[in-house]
Amino acid sequence: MSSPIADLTYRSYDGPLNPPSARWWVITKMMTLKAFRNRFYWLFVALSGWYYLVILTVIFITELLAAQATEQLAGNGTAASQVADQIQFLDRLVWKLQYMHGFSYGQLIYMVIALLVGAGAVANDNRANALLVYLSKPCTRLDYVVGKFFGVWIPVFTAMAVPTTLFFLYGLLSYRNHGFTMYAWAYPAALGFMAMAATLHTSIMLGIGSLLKQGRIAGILYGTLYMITNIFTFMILIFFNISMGEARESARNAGQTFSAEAVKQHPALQTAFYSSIDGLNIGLAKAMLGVDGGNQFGLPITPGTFIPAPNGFVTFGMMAGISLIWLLIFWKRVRAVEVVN
Amino acid sequence: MIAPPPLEAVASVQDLTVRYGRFTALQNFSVQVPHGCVGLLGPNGAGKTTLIKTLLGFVKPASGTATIMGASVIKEGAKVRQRVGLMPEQDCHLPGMSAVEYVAYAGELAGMPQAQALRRAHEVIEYSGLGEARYRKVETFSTGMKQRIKLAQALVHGPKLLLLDEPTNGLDPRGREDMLDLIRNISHSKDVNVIVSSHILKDIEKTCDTVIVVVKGQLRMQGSIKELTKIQGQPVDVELKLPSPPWREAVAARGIQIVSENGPKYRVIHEAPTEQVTRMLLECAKSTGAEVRGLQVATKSLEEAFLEAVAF
Repeated sequence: MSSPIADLTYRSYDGPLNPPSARWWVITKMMTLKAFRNRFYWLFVALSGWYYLVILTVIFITELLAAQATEQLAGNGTAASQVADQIQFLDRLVWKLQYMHGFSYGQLIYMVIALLVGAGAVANDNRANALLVYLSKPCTRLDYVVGKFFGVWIPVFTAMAVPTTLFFLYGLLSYRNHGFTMYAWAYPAALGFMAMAATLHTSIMLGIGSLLKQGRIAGILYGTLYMITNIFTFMILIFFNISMGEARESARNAGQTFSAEAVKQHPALQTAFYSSIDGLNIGLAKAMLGVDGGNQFGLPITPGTFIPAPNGFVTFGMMAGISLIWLLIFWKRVRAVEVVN
Repeated sequence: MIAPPPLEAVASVQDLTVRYGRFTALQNFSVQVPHGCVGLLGPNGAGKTTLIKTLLGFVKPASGTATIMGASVIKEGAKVRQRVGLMPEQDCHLPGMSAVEYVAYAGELAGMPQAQALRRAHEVIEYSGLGEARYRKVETFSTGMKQRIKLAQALVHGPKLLLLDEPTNGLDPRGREDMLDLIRNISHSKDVNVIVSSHILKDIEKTCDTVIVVVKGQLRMQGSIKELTKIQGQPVDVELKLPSPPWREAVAARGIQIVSENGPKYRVIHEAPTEQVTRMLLECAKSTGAEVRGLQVATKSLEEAFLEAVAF
């Protein structure tokens, strides 16, 4: 730009300066606000809660129908039976499983949110030499790493927690008579496994981003990693279902009842099923909630249609280990920078 | 030629040795950086970069100490960087931010409260000549504008020392002049100490009062530009309207030696103080009717001084 100097009335800054510590919060605050100002972020947050919306709608309609049937068809035996079925539907709902399903069905969208917030967080900084700006200020490597971590973690965790919190509050106010409060502890547990899931997403995203100079490439790589591991999990699920079908058939031929214990005869399948980003997240959710699966959308629980929960400690350890490795890669990539070529 | 250290130094480096593996970038390097605008000169690989890196605490020295305004760059890195502003050579910005967001964010990183940082960002952006582009994304800026925004982010927190690395890189002649004016204004009117690392000696000559020459990881020369460009014996350059043999003879008769002659331009030398020599030259002109067009103490260019120092 060749315009003349506009204003030479510059004065030196003599105002207050905060002590040169905890600069990570400035980075986190900036990133979080940037994410929260993005309307697409909130669109995806809303989309991620679709399961809760569906289940609440189903419950609402069921209740409505039950109320109408009770009023209009009092004394009619068939109608009374329908009402009984509808009420049974509500009582059949395992509330803690709904937290797991709400989380499980939002997985893909959580990944998209992690991409939206984190793909360019470090990669674009690498491209723009932004590290020079950060490290020439009273901001340490640790500040940068911690600041970026929480700058991605907070929006990802919020995306997971907001629909769940709304579901919890709505349930608490509306379904106390249907055993909701019995599973109130599932809400903090859900926040716990969501925190861990957000950590996993954030660490991998930042680790990949730190190796690259293009946010888009980082996003594509992370998306590919997520999808490949998910396809693997999906294949395992198909294999599991075939295997369970055979087990069910054998049980029928032998004149025996299919037992849920048969599911546990395949530990290798169980391990492989949880060997993906989604798998780890869902595995930890199952372990912390003490559920195996089933009852999605209020359907009856059928043994052999879902893979039992993995060992919670092992899953947590795996998630923590993977997160730590990617964070270490990120840490190593934040180096004292070149001042002059 | 090493000048004695000035009494007050903005930065002080004592016996600093910095190694990258087996390569020694700085060897027992000591320098006192005086207040004002200081040029950092040296051939490629001399150790200028390493010195700047060390002053910012990016590089851990093998031995020695360095302080900026009394704070150790090794032990109090964050404190030092709060007092220092860096304008790096490379393009550097924060992607997706407008100029004012970027500069305000840099201010917050330096420790300014949010409201102050924003207000101050507007001030320094205006000062840097980017007032009309303050809401534009930095990545859309031209090279010259990027140079200015780098300066603005370095200035926002009111540093007491500015490290400018090749500040005129990639600028057109007009932009270069503007940038040099800005640097001179900052260092001479705004009470900000400046270290300018540049390969363009004319830029240094225009903006700096003092230079530090680093060669092979050691201090080769330090002093004010005035002193360094002085020629030994203090010759005087005289320019007459026309070549004048009578004036030549009159000058020689007074014992003044003519060192070189180029048409009506003469370089003369005498043991006497400059004022006395000047008076004698004017008297000779008066007596011979020669018309004097110019008279000044001869100096060498900074480039000549630098080449001498490097060759030494």
